[in-house]
Amino acid sequence: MNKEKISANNINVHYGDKQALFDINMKMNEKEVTALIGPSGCGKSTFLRCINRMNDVIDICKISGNITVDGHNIYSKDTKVERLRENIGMVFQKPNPFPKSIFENVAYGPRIHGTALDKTDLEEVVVNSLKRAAIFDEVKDRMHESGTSLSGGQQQRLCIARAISVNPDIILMDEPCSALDPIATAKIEDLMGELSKDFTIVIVTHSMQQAARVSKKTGFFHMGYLIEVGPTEVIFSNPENQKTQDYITGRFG
Amino acid sequence: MSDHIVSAYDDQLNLINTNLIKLGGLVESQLKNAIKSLSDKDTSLADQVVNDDNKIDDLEKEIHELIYKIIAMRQPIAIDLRTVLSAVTIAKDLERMGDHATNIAKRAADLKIYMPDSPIAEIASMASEVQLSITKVLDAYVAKSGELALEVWDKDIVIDKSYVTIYKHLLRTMSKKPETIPGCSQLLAIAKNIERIGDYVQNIAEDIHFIVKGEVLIREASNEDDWETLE
Amino acid sequence: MTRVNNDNRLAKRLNAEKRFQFYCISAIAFSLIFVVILFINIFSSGYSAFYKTVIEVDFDVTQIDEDIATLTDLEIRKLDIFRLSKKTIYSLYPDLDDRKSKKMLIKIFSIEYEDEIKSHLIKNKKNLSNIETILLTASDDVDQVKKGNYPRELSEDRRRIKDIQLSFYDDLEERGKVKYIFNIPFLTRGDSREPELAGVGGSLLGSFFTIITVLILSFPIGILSAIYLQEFAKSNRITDFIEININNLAAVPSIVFGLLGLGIILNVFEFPRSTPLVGGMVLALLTLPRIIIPTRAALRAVPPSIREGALAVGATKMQTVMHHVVPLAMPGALTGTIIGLAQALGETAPLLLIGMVAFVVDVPSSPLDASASLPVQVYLWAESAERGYVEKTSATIMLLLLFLILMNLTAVIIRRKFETKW
Repeated sequence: MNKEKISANNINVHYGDKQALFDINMKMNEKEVTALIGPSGCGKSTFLRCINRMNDVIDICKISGNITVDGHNIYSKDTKVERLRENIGMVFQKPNPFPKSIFENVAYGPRIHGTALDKTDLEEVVVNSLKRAAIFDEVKDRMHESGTSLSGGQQQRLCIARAISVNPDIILMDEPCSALDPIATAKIEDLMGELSKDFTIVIVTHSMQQAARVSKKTGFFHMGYLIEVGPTEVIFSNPENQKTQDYITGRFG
Repeated sequence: MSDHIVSAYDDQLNLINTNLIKLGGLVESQLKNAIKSLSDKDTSLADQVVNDDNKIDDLEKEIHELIYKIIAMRQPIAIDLRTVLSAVTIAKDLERMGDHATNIAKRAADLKIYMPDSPIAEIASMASEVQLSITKVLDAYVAKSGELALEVWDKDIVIDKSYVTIYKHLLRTMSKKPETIPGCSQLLAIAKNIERIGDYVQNIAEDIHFIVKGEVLIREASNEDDWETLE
Repeated sequence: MTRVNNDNRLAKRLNAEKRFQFYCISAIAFSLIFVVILFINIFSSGYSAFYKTVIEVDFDVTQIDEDIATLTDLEIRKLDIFRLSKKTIYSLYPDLDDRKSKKMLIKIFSIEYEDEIKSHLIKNKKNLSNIETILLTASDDVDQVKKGNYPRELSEDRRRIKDIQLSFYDDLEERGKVKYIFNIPFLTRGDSREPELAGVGGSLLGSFFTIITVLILSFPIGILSAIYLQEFAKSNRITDFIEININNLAAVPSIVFGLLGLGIILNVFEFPRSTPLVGGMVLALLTLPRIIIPTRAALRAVPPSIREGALAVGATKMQTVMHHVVPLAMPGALTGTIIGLAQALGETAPLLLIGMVAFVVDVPSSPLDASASLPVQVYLWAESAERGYVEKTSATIMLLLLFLILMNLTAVIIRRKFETKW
């Protein structure tokens, strides 16, 4: 049993007057994949974005409660949000590489954080990130072409390379495969298995089969509440809550 | 439990259910007829039972086809997966039960052998207990009732005890009157068939419980004391 | 039965569509015809301004005492060859005696003949032959006669050119002494009382300096304001107020800005009047909203996914905006800027108010010298009586249109070249 990496405590989120998350308490363990499932609008993406404070950019979004990473509260006053996001990477639903070269896409993070010592070091970081994201072989001959010239699946792996270029501990994935075809999806799921040896991964997914395949632990959200959380095998074979069972067997959406 | 959003999924599940119950009904009537042919010494009824065994085999095959299809098309999980996988074993168990009923009929058809009446009556009584269990287990399946399944499961001990009693009775008869040995050994075999049917009913009850509760029933070690006193 | 009805209705719908397309194409054709007529009109009346009539004379260099080759340009300018120049002209008709006729002969040349001879000497001082053939600019009347605009058939007392001058002209024409050459001074010299000598060079540079000033003042302020308002400013009453005001400013008549320039920049701050600097300042105010509005639109058009991608990697707000959003918005911003500048190029009313309308002969050498601008020059010449200014007015309009087209083309090219797929 891996030790705890992220702990969400009494998280309540409001968008203006509307409450989106009600008293969420959930722990995620290090170096394993945790999945968040639930129907549309249930708050799972909102919760994911709380972990790297991406909700801060939305003016009307108010968050109460706290989230600790390695014991430190990320919502405390002295947390530097840019350092936080250096440590927690994010991959989005629609692949969004920068309209710059493939090299620049991956080099941008280390550049602004100053983590590479010199030009050779930077090149090494970029190549390693691309290798770990299982895309280096496909792009090694066209590093200076635009990131947007790749296929959907390749773009998404490029985004993963970009996320890991700054050496985070945690990677958040918001429905990373929903815009991809089955083969590209399978490649990313395979990659997740490899990455989870070194990174803590939290993934939001619409596909229950995907959650069952890739994750060790699963949380089921519904209408802003965390209905049930537990080991994936239990959730998908014999969940405790009737709502959970109804959702995963397709009895309501 | 509410319906699946995709109603065709429910239609497919219901089709499997209906066919399983139909199979159960066939087995019920096979057993009833086999015992009747024994009690009434009715060889033509016994022959009918032997022939009707094909229907059971065919229906079991059909149910298998339906199950493969639903697994491929619907990828069932959780309670649906348990339901569908258990349907495989339940169908198999019912088919075996049918085979045992056929065996009983085959033995009952052999009129040349004299079989004493009193053990036959005991056997018929045990058989009717088993028949009740079969009916109850099929009800439990339809109602998806864990409690009913549990009742059937508990009853198996009673049936086992009846078997032991009949066994002892037949042994005594055979040792007292050696000319009854051919007949009694057939009766012994028939009793064993019925006891095996009872075991299969118990299996089905376990499957139903697993479907509903997700837990496996564990059988405690049976009390073998009764075998000690053979006198 | 219903099927037939549907076919009828379909036919009606298709016909309506065809009619609509016809109306649209007619509207476009209608406007295009007007544009073509306009262009033809301007071109036909303006092209002749790029040519001027000159008359060939033979100048006897040996009549000058000094050795030209050794003199500096300034010394050549200071030579007194007034009489010599006149003699040169008289030598076209050696038998001409009476003073009046001689005076008439001189008058068929432009007033600057002495200076033109000196310019020729300066230009060729290294290799002068004894007799130099010099082309002297003809007077405005002769120029217009050559160009076919002069009403020769009127009786002498009703026109300025005299019969004797016409006979000189016809004779010289026959003798092959009248040439029609490309009028470079039109582009390089400033305005003049003499139409044949008037040039657009002063207002050309005036416009150039004005636009440069506008660019330097309005581009940074406009772009930075747009970036701040769009990306950083919190959405509240104050920013709404600012946005409304910027939109309204874009609709304010340009002459109002001229009043502002007159009242404050000239009268209160006492900047030099009539200069491109002040003109540029006034027009910069005018151009600011025209830069801010399209730049904000271009910034808005950058998809939020780019911003999220940058933020998620740990970029600050400033880094996200400057490294990612602004480069993507630049084509739109630049296009807006160039179009704003093109509009400023054509502004006349505010420049009139701050005085860039004076008659200025010298070509400005910096934004601090008084000058006119191209559209103001058009206005000035359009008001003049002389026939010679008509072609020059149209020629100036042609130049103005040329620059507007070039600037708009640049905007289109920039847009095409830098549009990225995101």
